[in-house]
Formats: sequence, structure tokens, C-alpha cells
Amino acid sequence: MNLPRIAAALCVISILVPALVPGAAALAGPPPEKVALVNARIITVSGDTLPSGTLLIEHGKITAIGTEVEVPFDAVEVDLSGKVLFPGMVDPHSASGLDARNEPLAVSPFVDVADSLDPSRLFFEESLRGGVTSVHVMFGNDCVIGGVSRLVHPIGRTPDEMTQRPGIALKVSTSPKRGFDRMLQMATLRETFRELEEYLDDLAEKRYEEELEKKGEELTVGPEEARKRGRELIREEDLDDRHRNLVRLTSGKLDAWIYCGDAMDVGPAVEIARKHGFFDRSTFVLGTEAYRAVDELRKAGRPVVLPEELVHRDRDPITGELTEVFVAKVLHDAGIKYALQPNTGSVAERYLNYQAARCVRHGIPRQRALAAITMHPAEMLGVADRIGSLEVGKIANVVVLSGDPLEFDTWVEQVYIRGVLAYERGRDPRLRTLLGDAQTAGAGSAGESQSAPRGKDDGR
Amino acid sequence: MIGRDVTARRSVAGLPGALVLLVLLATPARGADAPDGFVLRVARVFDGKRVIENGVIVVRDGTVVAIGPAAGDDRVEIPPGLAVIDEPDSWAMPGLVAAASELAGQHGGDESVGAGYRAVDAFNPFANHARALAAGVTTAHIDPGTHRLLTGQGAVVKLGGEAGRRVLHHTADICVQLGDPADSPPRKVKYPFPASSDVAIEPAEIQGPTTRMGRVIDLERAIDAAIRESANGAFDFHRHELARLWTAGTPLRIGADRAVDIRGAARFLRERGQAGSIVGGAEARAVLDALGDLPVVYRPRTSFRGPAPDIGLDPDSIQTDLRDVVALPRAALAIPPGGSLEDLRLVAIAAHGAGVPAERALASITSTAAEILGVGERVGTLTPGHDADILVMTGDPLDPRTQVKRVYVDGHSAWEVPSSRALVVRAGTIWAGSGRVIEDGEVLIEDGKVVAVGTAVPRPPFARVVNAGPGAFVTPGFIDARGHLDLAGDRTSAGTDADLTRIVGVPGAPHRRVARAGITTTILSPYSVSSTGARLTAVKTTGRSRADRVVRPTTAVAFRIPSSQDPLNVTSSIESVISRGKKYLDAWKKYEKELAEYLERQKKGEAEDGKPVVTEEVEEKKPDPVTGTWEGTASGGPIEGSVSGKAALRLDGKEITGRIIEPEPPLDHTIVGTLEGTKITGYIDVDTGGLGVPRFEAELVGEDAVRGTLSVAEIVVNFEGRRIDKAEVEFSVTRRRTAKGGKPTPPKVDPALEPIKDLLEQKIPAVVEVSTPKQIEGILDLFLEKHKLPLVLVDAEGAFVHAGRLAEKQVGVVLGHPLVSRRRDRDFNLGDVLSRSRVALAFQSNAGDGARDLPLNVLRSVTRGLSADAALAAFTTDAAKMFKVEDRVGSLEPGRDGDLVIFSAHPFREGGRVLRVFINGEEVR
Repeated sequence: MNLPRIAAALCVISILVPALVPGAAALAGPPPEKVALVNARIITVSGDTLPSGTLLIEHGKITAIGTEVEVPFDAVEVDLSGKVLFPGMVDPHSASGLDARNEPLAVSPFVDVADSLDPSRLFFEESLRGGVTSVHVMFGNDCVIGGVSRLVHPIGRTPDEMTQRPGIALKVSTSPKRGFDRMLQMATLRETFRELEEYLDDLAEKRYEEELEKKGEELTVGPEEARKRGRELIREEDLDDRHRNLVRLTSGKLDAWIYCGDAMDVGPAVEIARKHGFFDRSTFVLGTEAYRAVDELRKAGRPVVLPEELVHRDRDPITGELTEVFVAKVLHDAGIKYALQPNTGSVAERYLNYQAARCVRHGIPRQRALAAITMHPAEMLGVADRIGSLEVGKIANVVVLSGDPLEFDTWVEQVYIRGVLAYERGRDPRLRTLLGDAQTAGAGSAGESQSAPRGKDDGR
Repeated sequence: MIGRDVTARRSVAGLPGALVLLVLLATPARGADAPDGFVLRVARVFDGKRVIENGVIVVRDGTVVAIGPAAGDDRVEIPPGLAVIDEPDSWAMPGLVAAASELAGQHGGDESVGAGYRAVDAFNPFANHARALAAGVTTAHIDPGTHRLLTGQGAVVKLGGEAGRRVLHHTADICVQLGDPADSPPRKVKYPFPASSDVAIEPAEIQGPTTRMGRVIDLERAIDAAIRESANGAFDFHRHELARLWTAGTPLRIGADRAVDIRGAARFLRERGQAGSIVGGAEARAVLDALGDLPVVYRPRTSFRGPAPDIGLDPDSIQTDLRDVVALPRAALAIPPGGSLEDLRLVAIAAHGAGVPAERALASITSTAAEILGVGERVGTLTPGHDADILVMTGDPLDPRTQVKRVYVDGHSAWEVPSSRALVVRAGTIWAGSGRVIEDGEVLIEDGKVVAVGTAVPRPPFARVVNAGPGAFVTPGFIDARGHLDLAGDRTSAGTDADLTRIVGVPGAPHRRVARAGITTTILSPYSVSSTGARLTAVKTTGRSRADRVVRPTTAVAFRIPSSQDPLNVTSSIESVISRGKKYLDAWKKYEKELAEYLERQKKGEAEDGKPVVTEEVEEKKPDPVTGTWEGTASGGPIEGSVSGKAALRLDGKEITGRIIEPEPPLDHTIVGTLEGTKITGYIDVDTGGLGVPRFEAELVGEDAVRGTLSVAEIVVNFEGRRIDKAEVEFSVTRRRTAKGGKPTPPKVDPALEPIKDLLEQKIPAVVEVSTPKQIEGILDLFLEKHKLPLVLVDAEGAFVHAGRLAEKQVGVVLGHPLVSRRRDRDFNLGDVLSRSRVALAFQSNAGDGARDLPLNVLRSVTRGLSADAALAAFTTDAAKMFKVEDRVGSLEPGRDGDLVIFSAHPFREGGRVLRVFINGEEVR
């Protein structure tokens, strides 16, 4: 292929890509400043559910929710009779939006997901279609220390356009990276933090000497004391790239999301976090078997992200007997705060509300299961003041559902991100291709009567 | 657990919910077997150093609080309030300590001296080590590999118990390898940062050692560098860690197999004044002087799993001999490199076989190993204050047949033998039946069947072992040759069509009473036998289900000859049953033959698959003198003139039936009569309203003509008649519908004749209750000479007259009660007389759960002359053979049912009483 042809191909792709991302087109026009979603059942998650009410969005924020809300004359009124309003769901942990899930280098705290984020990933489109309005994009678990994560909207043409909040957390793993064993993993982790101390000591000593030099004073204390005094003099710009994010981690500017693939990885994770001062800002990302460490997790009292696969299967080595455990229930019963992850490897479990429904089926209260896909992950990410529930003052990330979120045959009709209609089922080009116009047309547009075919898998 | 939580929650419902939840969450989960502790009583305890007979171990809060013998001056008092676990057949010992294992694998780092690698990082405290626990290993040393000069930090861990308590020592030692694997480690690569073109890529660092001489030198150099340079110079994590460990006095665990390496290791430790041990130690015996009192973790080099590598004439190969362990002052035995933890006890067994004293061999996998690993204060011995890591074993731990029954870790059951249907019964004497007696023998029962009998039977994994002791005497389960256990007192007479299996149900207390007496099988008989015989069923006295209990649904056909019956006529009723049975059997044989032919045809492809073939068999009948339509006239008596009419008659044998058809009779009636020669007599069965029965007498005069009289009360009428039609019933058509393709249909199953059919086919015996010698003779003639059928006599007081014939023809006798009778003022023991003539005998209870006394009845007979062994045979093998159930019960041979009785001695000698009873391999309790 010669160069002009490649250029032509790129041109075609660059035109096609935004067209294929459904929300991109929706965002193209100037969004209305005021939107009133009326006559819908409103599940706020944080408070009571309103059987039929109005949610008013002004300038991207929720300004009123209630049964007696007066709709301003200049608001676009959307009649959602029979529909359900639900907070935009939060995907707490995903590397699917990255073009590479992990650096090959085991310790790479200096990288940021922004550099790997690919807005054209089908994953984002699927997330939006599933009612997810916030994705915590994080490096994968195949590392010792990964890079910095950020919270994004699953829509936008550039990483910056998508970003809700950058610099949220650093990925740490106590489960062995590919090609590593646990001894090497833990030795590498300890070495990293040990080396950081050495580096900071050296830097502190240097800074103290610099300060003395600036003041024209003589060095009168020993190296120990100089290091101690110099620690406070270290400025952000003194740090090199290699150590900057590690220092931000240990000094409270970055959270730690620690991957524990197995139960045996929880103890070391707690130990490392406590020892290096980021325990109070750590979240444990669990593998399926890790639920066995429920006692340690309960003692730690830190929130956890549940594994994609919620059922753990265990075979007795002698009798061959198979036992199955629903992991979420075990952790729920222990009183641990948890967020649910979509299981991208499954047809149904990739929907967060389906995961929540499974929890309810296994005996978890509805309120907690719904919070585990909205409020709780928002709290873990430190953005609970902005998203995670339908409350006045929060960002208007709202999902319009055809029915109850825990019903199997409910689908997403519309998604509003910052008050802007970002997704509409009736105009979903991919669904249209799959199902034909008749199947999608009647279903989506707001305010129209319900005559659409029902069924989850043809819907989403 | 769930149940416990629920009740606990309810009982404290008054407390504020959150507080309750907190309390419940904080309460650690405890096994149901040991709420606070327990007392374990066993036959023997090895406490880590010595063996205690009749040992008692008291465990509280996961710790041994007392241990000692159950009796004597130093006996252990059993504290009140603790559960007592009695294991009278078992041994107890400390959980085994594996002084070496590959549980942690090896670290993947490149450093030749990598002190920062910790084996405990690779230990999964949540893992299920059931296989190792099942082999008795509760504690293991783990190292970060043996592939580098200094691999890192070893640890000692438990393989069971609560996850949080499993690590005994997270930095037990520094693991050093002075053997060949230490040589030529990979090069150390440093990745440049940032990875850009202006940062030089440093060449990979070459590491030592590469030679044997270099190993100790490199080790010393690394340690010196760590101690001296940890404070300054470029940061090196592993050097930093080594300095920390070394200055803390962490012992060195040095891998060395060759004499030269062991000597070097010993010298290094001595010069440096550091504590340590040698691991491997294949050639340690050759350098005992250099070794001093340095402990050795001896690892044999046989895998137990395949042939050893060939040595041939190779002078460099390492040779090991488990006998060497005897010479080593302090040695723990460990599994071979690459071996399985499950083989740890096997190593000790092999060492004991090679000459290591028993207590030393056991100590080397428990107490000595724990001391060398530095955890002797917690595990390896059962001493007050130590962890309650206890094994309960089926016997001597150094006996290869012994298996682990249960494992306690920290006083909680960590592993238990899964329920197995395999059972091994050991006893001083096994009376297997048919004269086979095994001294000091064993019986293996699997899935309810005897699998092996002998002096050393196979021991399947997790088999239950019942050690009955040297005095014990094991016999097959006893057979009651006539019992009524399941009838529950129902004395209804039963015929051959009564299927007794239908009343066999779930056993209750009466059943267990009988079973506990040693009677495991009963020939279930109705109290009263019908004149045409009854069906008998062999059933087990207990069992889980009807299918478990029924041995053979139809075991025999019983007949009863009352003692009053004329001896010349005893056979007539039996004879008629047999002749009916023969017809039935013939019909079946014919069918089977047709079926065989049909199948043959079908095989050849000749059978048509089209329409069903209907065959008609026309059976010509001779015209008889009566059958047909008769026209007659009656006259005389009150009749004026004459009356004429028609009647239809039919002759069947001698019986005549018929009815008047003209004139149309106003009443429902039947003509009934008999034909004797040419005379016909009979009556008309009709309701005459009190006039009496009309009777007639007539005579056939010539062909098709009759003349006679009809009388009602005093009225007499003459009549004569003529047969006008005899075609009506002159032939009959037997339609035999055959199935599609000409497949023959079977005859109708007659439940009453089925047992007779089995009898005629000699599958089952006839059981005849007779008494006098003359009657017995008639029966013997009928069954043995005329029909040649298997026969058993019941009661048969007169059998002694025919003893020779009974023995010759193998006719069994089920003795009646009383077994010893008075005859001409003297005791007469029929059983003794018959058994001397080699007549097979059996005993009957003729009772329900009264059968429990049957062995006592027999004991009385033994005191009056019956041989004890004959009595035993009569209870088991003879009875089984008589009823043709010897393929299931009556002896302890492979393939027979696992029914056995353990007696304290021979059941009919002094001190013989029932200890335990097993039916289908399950104990009757």
C-alpha cells in the first residue's frame, strides 16, 4: 500500500469513527440548557424512590427532583411515562479502554492512563449502551506498580474531553505479574518502597545542604538529622519522574487500588499499605478466590471492588466435590463496602445492573446492590459529591431505563451525561443495523407510547 | 455454623443490633467438634519422644494441657465438662513435621544472593492441603528454592487450621545452597530509566559462583559486603536484607549433599559462629568429625515413585543409604528432593526398616525435625503447652498398613477420613466357613461385599479398621432356617403366590435384637403353610432398604405334612402341585423354544416384519352323546296330553350343563347334571318358590335319544327327547395371536406356580415339614427318586432312621425344637446323631424376634453332645448350601455379602459372646 492510499484510508476512518460513536453525534449540536424529565419513576439510590416525578436539569446539574416540580417555560420537556430514571452507573475498575492494559515494566508508577486511553474503543460505546456514565480507567492487574488512573465519561473524542477527574489512584498488585512468582513480586514491591526511602533520604540531605548554602550557613548536624530536616524541604519539582507518583502515593495525594487476586494476597497488601502510609486511601481489587480472606478484609475495613466473576468454584482435592460460593454475599455479610464490576467475558454479566440483580437474587438487599453500581464506587473514587445518585446539586448523569434496573428485560432508553442526551436507543446506529429500524425506532424517542418489543438481549 | 449463628442472634436479641453484629463478627469460628477442648483416649500415644500405653491427651483452647497414661501413678485425670473422644483401636502422635518441602516453589529472581526473597510470600494460608494432612503432615518448612547460592528466607508453616495462625515462623532461616545448583546463576540485567536513546544500556552483570571453590568464597564475600557496605554505597535491596538477617542471628540452612560441601558448610558456620543446619546430607556419614553436633535434615534420594537413577560405575554419583541416619547425632528425616509431602511417613518407615530404632525414626519426623527448624516449642511433641496438632492413626505409625484417621490442628479437626464403605476386620481367628480357619487374619469388606480374606488383606485408602484383638473369633453371620421376623405376628396361611418380600421393610428394634444375637439372615416363612405349599424368602435381619435386606425373593417352596397324615398318602397333594407345575414349566419351555427359534430366524433375516401373524389351532372334538340341542316331549303327572320344548345341553367331562330354550322359560335357570355311562342324573337349578328342586333321571337310548323322568316334590313327569343338532360345540378354536413379525407371546405368569417352576428347574429346594420315618420315606421317594428335586426336611424327628440316605443324597435337615428331646427316658440329640452321619444341618427359631435366643438353644445342644464346629457349620455354611444361597451368605469368601459376627471367643466354647455384628459391611448398633 502506498502512502496516499493510507492517507485516504485514515481520512475515511476519521470521518466514520465519530459517526459510529452514537453520542458523538448527539453532542455535536449545542445542548439545551434546561431539560425536564417528567412523569418518570425516579430511583435516586441515595433516598426514596419517587413513583412518578420530575427531574430538572439546568446547565448540566440536577436542580430539582420531586413530584411537584414546576417546569420552567424555557426547559425542554421530555415525557417519560412508564420509564425509570436511574443514576448513571459507575464502572469502578476497567482497563478495557486502554490500548495496552499494562506496561511490560513491572514497576511503572510514572505512566498515566491518559496516554493509553483510546476513545474509539468499542468498550466505551458498550458502556454507554449499558447505562454506565463514569468509567474508572485504570491499568490492568499485570504489574507490580502500575500507573495513574482517571475517571472518564464513556464519550468524547479525546482523552481530555472524556476526563471527569484525572489522577485518582495508582495501581499496586500483590498478586504476581505474569512471569513473576509471589516471592519475586513481593521482593520487588518491598525493594521499590525501600529504594524510595533511600532516594528521599538522599534528596532530603541534598535539599538541606542547598538550603543551608542559600542561607549561607554551615552544616552542623550529622547526616541522619540532615535527612530528617531536609524531608520537609522537598518540593514537588525536586522529584524525578520515576519517584514522583510514588511520593504522591505515600504523601496522600494519590489513592492506592491494590489488586489481590487470591486470598493470600490480601495480608501482604494490607501490610504494604500500612507500612507506607496509604492504607487509609487504599481500595482492594479482588480476584474471585480472595473472598476467603474475608476476616482480614473486615478487619482492614477498606472498600473492595468485587471480581468480575462473582461465583467461586472449589474442588476438594480428595473427594473431588465441587462447592460454589457467591462471593458478593460473603463480603456483604461481613459488612464490607463493595463495588460491582462488569464481567466483560460474559454476555449478561457485562451489564452492571445484571450483576446487581444477581446479588439481590443471592440475598443482598436491593438498596445495597443498587448502591454497589452507583453510590459506593463513587465514594471509593472520592466523587460521591458529584455523581453516584440522583440528588439536587449533582452532575446530571442520568439513565432512562425502560423498567426496573433489576428486571431482566429492562434496557437503557436514554443516557444523559452532564445533562446532555449522550445516548438514545432509537438512534443507536449499531442496534439499528442489528435489529432494523422497526425494532429500535419506536422504543427510543422520549414521550412516545410503548410498543417496542421487549427482551434484553435483542435490546442491548 | 449457620444454625449456631441464628440461635445466638435470637438469644441476644435484646442488645442493640449493631453491637450484636459486632460481637458475632468478632467471635472466631470454631469447629463443632471442640467447643472448648476435648479429651482423647487412645490405645497408645507417641508424644514425640516415647510411647505411652493407654494414653490420654487433654486439649483446651488449641493447646495440649495434659498428657499421660489412663492408669497408674502418673495417670491423667479427665477433667469434667470436656467431651471425651474414645479411640480404643488407635494410636495418637504429634502432627508430622516436614523439615523440607517444595511448597513455596522457587523464586524467579536472578540474584545469586537474594536475601530479600521470602518463602512465606509464596505460602497460601488459605490453601486446602488435604492430601498432605491426610498423610499426617501438619507442619512444613518452606524455602524460596534451592537454585541459587543464597535463595532467601525460609519459613515454617502449618498446613491446616485457621489461616491467620498458619505461619509459625516467617523468617526461620537463611537458605543457602552449597551444592551444584548454586553454580552459574543468570546475569543480572538493569533496565534503563527513562528508556530513551540518551540513557546508556548497561551490560548485564555477571554473577558467581561458577565453581565449587567459588561457592563459599562468594557467600563470605556477599555477607561481608552486606555487613560493611549496608550503610553506604549504592542502594541494594538484597544486600540490605542480608545485613539485617545476619545481624539478627538468623540461622543458616545450608544445602549440601557431598562430603566436601558438608565439610565446607560446617567450617563456615563454625568460623562465623552462626547457628545453622545442613539440608540434604547424603554423604554426611563420611564427615561425622567435621559435622560435630550440627543438625542435619536428611533427604533420601529415592522418590518411592519409580526406579532410582542408574549409578553404574560413575564415581561422581551421590549414593545414599537410610542406614546412615543412625550414625548422625541429630537428624531429621525429610522427603526426597522433588518428592511429595504425602511420603514423609514412608521415609520414616523405610528408615526404620533400614535399622533406625522405632522411636528415633518417629522422632525424626516430629520432635527432632521441629527442634531443628526452631519451632520445637510449639509443634513436634505432645507436651503441655504445645499446640494440639495431633494425629489419630489406625495403628502403629511405622506399620505401612496404618492410616491416618483424623488430624487435629490447634485442637480443631483439620482433616478426617472421608466416609468410606471399606472395612477391615482384624481378629485372632477368622472362621471363614467350609472348614477354613485363618489365625491372626483379616477380612476386607468393600461396598457391602467381602473382597478379601487372609492374613494381610489390601488396605484401601481411608478404610475403617476394626481391630477385634487376638482373642476374637470372627464367623460369617448366622442363618435362621425358619423365622417369622417380618410377619409381625401375622399367622395367616400363605400359599405359593404370596410374595413375602412385600412385607420386608425398615428394620426396627426386634430386628436389631435378633441381629445383635449374631443372626444376620433369616429364611422368612409364613406361620402356616397352605396345602399347596408356600413360598419362602431369605432376608437379612437388618439393612437400609428392602433391596439391601432381601437375599433371594424366592428361596424355597415349603410343604407341610401333618404328623397325623397317612404315611401312604403323604405325597398326593404335593404330587398334584408338581404336576400342575410341570404343565406350567412345559408351556414356558415351549415358549422359550419358540422364542429361540424366532430369534434364530430373525438373526438370519427370515422373520417377516409385516402384519401380525395369527395362527389358529383347530382342536377336533369327538362328537359326544349329550352336547347339542334336544327336542323333547313331556307327559304324565299333572300334564294333560303332552308338552314339547327344546333344551341346549353341553357335556364337559362328565358334567352336563344346559338350559331350556323353547318355550321361552320365565325363570332364570340352569340344567345341571352328570353322565355315568348312559345314565343321566341331575336337577334344574331354578327358584321354584319353595316347591323344591326339580330333579331328573334319564337314560340315553341309542344314539341321540333320551328317555327319563322329571320330578318336583311329589310330581313326576315322564319325558323323552331327541337330539336335533349337535354341531354347536363340536370344535373349539384356540386363537393364538402372535406378535409382530411372528414373535411368540409368553404364557401368562402364574405367581402361584412360579416357585414350583423354580423348584422343578432345581433352582430352589423344596422344604418339607414332616415327622415320622414312614412319612419321610414317602417324601424322599417322591423328591429324590421320582422327580429328582432338591429337598430339605424340617423338624423330621424320624430322620435318624434315614440318616445314611440323607447324607448320601445331601438332603439337609432343619432341626426342630427342642433340639434335645427325651426319648425312652434318655436325652436324644437328633442333631448330634445326624451330624455324626454327616447329614447337613440347620437351625430354626420358628419365631419372630424370639430368634434372638436361637444361639442359646444351640449352646444347649452343644452341651448335650453336638460338636461345636458342626453347630457353627449348621448356622452358616450348611444352612446356606441347603437353601442354595451360599453364593451370598454363610461364608467369608470374596464375593459373599459382608455379614460377619465378632465373638470374644468361639461362639460355642467358653467365653464366647457376641461383640459386634456387621451386615452388608455396616455395623448393627
